[in-house]
Amino acid sequence: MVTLSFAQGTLVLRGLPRDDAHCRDLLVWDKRSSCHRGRASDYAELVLALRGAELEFEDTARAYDAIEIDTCVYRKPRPYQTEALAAWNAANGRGVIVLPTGAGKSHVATMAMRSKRRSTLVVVPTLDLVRQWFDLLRHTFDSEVGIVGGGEHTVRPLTVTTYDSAYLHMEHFGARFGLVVFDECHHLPGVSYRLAAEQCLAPFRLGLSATPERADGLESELESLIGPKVYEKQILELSGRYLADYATERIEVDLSAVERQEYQEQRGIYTAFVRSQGISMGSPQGFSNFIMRSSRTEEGRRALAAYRRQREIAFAAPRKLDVLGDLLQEHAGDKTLIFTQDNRTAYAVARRFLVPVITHQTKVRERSELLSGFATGGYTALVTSKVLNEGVDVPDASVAVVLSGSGSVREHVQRLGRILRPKDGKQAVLYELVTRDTAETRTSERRRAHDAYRS
Amino acid sequence: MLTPAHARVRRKGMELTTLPLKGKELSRAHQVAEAVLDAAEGMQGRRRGELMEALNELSGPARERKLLEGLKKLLLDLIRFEEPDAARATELRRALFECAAEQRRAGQIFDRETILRQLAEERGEPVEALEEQMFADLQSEQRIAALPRVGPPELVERYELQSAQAVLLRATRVVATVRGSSPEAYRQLFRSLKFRRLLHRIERVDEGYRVVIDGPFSIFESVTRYGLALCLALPALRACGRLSLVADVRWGRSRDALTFRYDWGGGGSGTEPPMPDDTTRLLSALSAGKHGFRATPCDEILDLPGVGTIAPDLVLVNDKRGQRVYLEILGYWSRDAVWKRIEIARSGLPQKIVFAVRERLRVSEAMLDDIDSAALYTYKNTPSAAALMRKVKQVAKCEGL
Repeated sequence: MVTLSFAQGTLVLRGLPRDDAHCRDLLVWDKRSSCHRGRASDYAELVLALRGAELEFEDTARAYDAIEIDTCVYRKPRPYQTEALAAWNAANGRGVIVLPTGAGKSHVATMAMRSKRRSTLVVVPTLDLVRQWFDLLRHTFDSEVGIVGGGEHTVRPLTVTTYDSAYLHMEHFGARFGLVVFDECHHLPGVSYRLAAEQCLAPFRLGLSATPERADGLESELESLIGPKVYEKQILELSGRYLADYATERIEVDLSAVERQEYQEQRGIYTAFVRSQGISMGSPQGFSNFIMRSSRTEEGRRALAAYRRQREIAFAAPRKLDVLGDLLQEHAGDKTLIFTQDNRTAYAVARRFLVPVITHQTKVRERSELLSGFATGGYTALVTSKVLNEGVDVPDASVAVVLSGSGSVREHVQRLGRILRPKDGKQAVLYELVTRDTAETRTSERRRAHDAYRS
Repeated sequence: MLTPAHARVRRKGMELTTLPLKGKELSRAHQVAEAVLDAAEGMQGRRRGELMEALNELSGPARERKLLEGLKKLLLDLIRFEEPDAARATELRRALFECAAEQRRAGQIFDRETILRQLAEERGEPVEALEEQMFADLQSEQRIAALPRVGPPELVERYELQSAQAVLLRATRVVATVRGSSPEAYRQLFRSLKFRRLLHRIERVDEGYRVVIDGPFSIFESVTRYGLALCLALPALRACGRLSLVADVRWGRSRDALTFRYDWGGGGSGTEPPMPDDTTRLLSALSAGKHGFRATPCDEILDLPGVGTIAPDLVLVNDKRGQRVYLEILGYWSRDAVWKRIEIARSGLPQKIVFAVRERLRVSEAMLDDIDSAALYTYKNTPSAAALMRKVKQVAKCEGL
C-alpha cells in the first residue's frame, strides 16, 4: 500500500520503488530514511498528481478538517472586500491581497475562512497582533481559538501564532491546517520565516499586506510561498469613503546655536572618515561598508560614535519636544499616537509628558491595559518606537506625530495607516517633525516618496 | 550564547575555521578576560546600565574587538540579575499617566511638576523616588544579584567553545568523525542527537564513528533551521575524545555557502542530556518487577556495517543465563526513525532488540513479526513494563530461554 504522511515539515511517500517515475518533479528519493520525500507546501499539487495518475494511496498526511464555522458577527462586506475575495477564490484560494491599513484586511480573511471552511492558522508578526486576531476570531465565529506564542501553546482548528513560533513549530503542526493566513505577509520571504510556508501543507493560502515591497526585493518570492498578487487597492483610492480623510503636515524645527555647532563638528568627523575611505553612502552597501570599516581603526570608531551623536542631535532635537508639547495641548481632546525612531526617545517623551509608552520591553499585560485604556478614552495619547507601526488596531486615533523615523516608505505609510480607520466626520492629521538643515531632511524626503503623502 | 558576530574566524577561499588562541595570543586573551572581569568587580547590587557603561569603557585594537565583545557577552550571560518589582513600577506609571490624561481631558495646561508633587504627597514619598521608580522595571535598571565565580582562563575557554558553536548556528549539515572514546561518551553523544531530534546516519570507521547530522528538510534546501540543535550537540561531540568536524555553513550577510572545519583533540565533558521521562519511569518500573531480567541504562552501540547503527536506551540481562535484550524507546521520534530501525533489524542485526514505539507514529507491531531477534512494542501514552516484558521474553525465547 502506498502511504503519504507528514514528517517534520516534509511529505513522505512510502510503498513505491526507488526509481518510480510518479511525481518525479515533486518528490526526491531520500536514502537517509529509504522513502520518497517532498515539500509540505506541494501537498495539494502532489495529491492532485497522484490522483491524476490513478495511483491508490492512503493519505495520512492531511490532519486538518472541514470545519463548521458559525458566524456570530456578520458585517456586510464593502464592495472592494467582495472583489478581493472573488479574485482570491478565482486563483484557487492562493494569493496575496494588498489593501491599505484600516481598509479591513482581516475582515477579508474571515470571509475567506467562511468561504473555505477549513482549519485555519493565522500567522502574524507580533504578540499584540496575536491578541487582536484572537479577539476578532472569537467574536466573529462561535469557536474557541488557539494561540501558539508568547508562552502559550494551544492548537485548535482556529489558531493564531507569530512568525517566530510558526518557524519553530510548523514542522509539528503544519499538517493541521487547510488554510493559512499570513498577515503582514511582507515578513514571510526572510531566510528563516519562509520555512513557515514551506513546511505547511495548507492547500489554501492567503497573504495580507498594505506594503508588500521589501528593501531586498524578496517580495517576488511571495508568489511561490503563498500565491500571486490577486488584488490591490491603494490609500488614495479608498480615502474619504472607506478610509478617514486626512492631511499631512511637516513641521521644521531649528537647532540651537550650541546644538548646531556640535552637530556640525560631529558630522564633520563622520563625513571626513567616509570620504577618506571612499565610501559611497548612497549605494545599497554604503552603510554596511561604513559599519564594517569603522570597526577596524580607532579613527573609524570615532567616526561611528560621531555618526550616532549627530543623528541623535537631529532626531531628538530638544525643540521637537517643545513642539510636541504644543501639539499635545492643541489636540488634548483627540487620540494621539507619537512615533519615535528609538526606545530612548520614546521613554524620554513618556517621562517628560507622562504619556503611556509601549516598546518591545513592555509586558503583554501592561501593553494590553494601555491599548484598552487608549481605546476607551482613559488615555488620549500613546508613545511608541516601532511596535505599533504594524497591524495593531488603535481605534479612533486621529492624530499621529512622527517625532523621528527611518527613511523607510513602508514604515511611514504604516504609521499613517494607524489613524485612517474611518469614523463619521473624522479628519485625521499626521505631523512629521524634522530638524532643519540636517541629514534628517533627506531621510524625511525618502520616506515620503509615496502617493499617500500628497501635499 | 555567543552569536556569529563574536566568533574569530579565518576565511580562506570557501573554507572557514575558527582562530585558535595559542601562545602570546592566549596570554593576551587572558589579560582581556581579566579586564572584563575587573570591570564587573564590586558591582554587586548595582544596575545593569552602570555595568554596561563600565564595559563600554573597555576598548582595544580592532583585531581584539570580537574577543572583547564576546567575553563581555559571556560575562553578562553568567551574571544573575535581580527580578525588578515590575508590579510596583507598572502601578506607579498607571497612576501618573492617568493623572496626566485627566488634566489634559479637563482642558488644563499640562503641569508635570504638580502631578508628581501631588502623587508624591499622597504616597508619602519624595518626588525623586517616583522619578526613580517610574521605569525601574526596564532591563537597564535591573540590579546585579550575583557575579560569576570564574577566572580569566575559564572565560577564555568558554569563548573558544562558544565561538565554534556560534559558527554552527549557521550550519546546514555536519559530518563529524569521532575516535577513541569510551562507550559511555558515544552513548551520551547519540542520546544528545536523539534528544535534539536531529536526523543522523552513523557509520563505523577505524576506531570510531562517522556521523552525518542534519534535519528532514535539508534534502530540499540548505537551511539553518537545525543550526541551534547542531550547535548544542558540539559539547557531546567534543566529549568523544578526538573530533574532526566538517560543516556546511551559510556565512555572512550574503549567506555564502562555505565549509567549516573544526578539530578537537582535548576531550572534554559533554553535558549529558537528561534521560527522557518515559525512559526513567520505565527503568524504574522494570527494576521493581519480578520477571527474571535486570534492567540498566545501556552504554553500547549496536552496529550493522553498511546499514546503520543503533544506540539503545536500556539493556535487559537475564538473571540466570546472562542473555542480553536491548531496548530502544522511540516515543517522540519520527516514523522515519522507526522505519530505519526496522530496516536494520531486517538486515541481520545480530543482537536481540525490542523497539518501544508510540502508537501515534502509526507503525504496526506486525512489521517485525517474521523476525525472531527483534520486536516492535507499541504503546499509547506510557509504556507498560508488563507488556514490554512479554515482548522481551518473546525475543529472548528464540534461543530457547
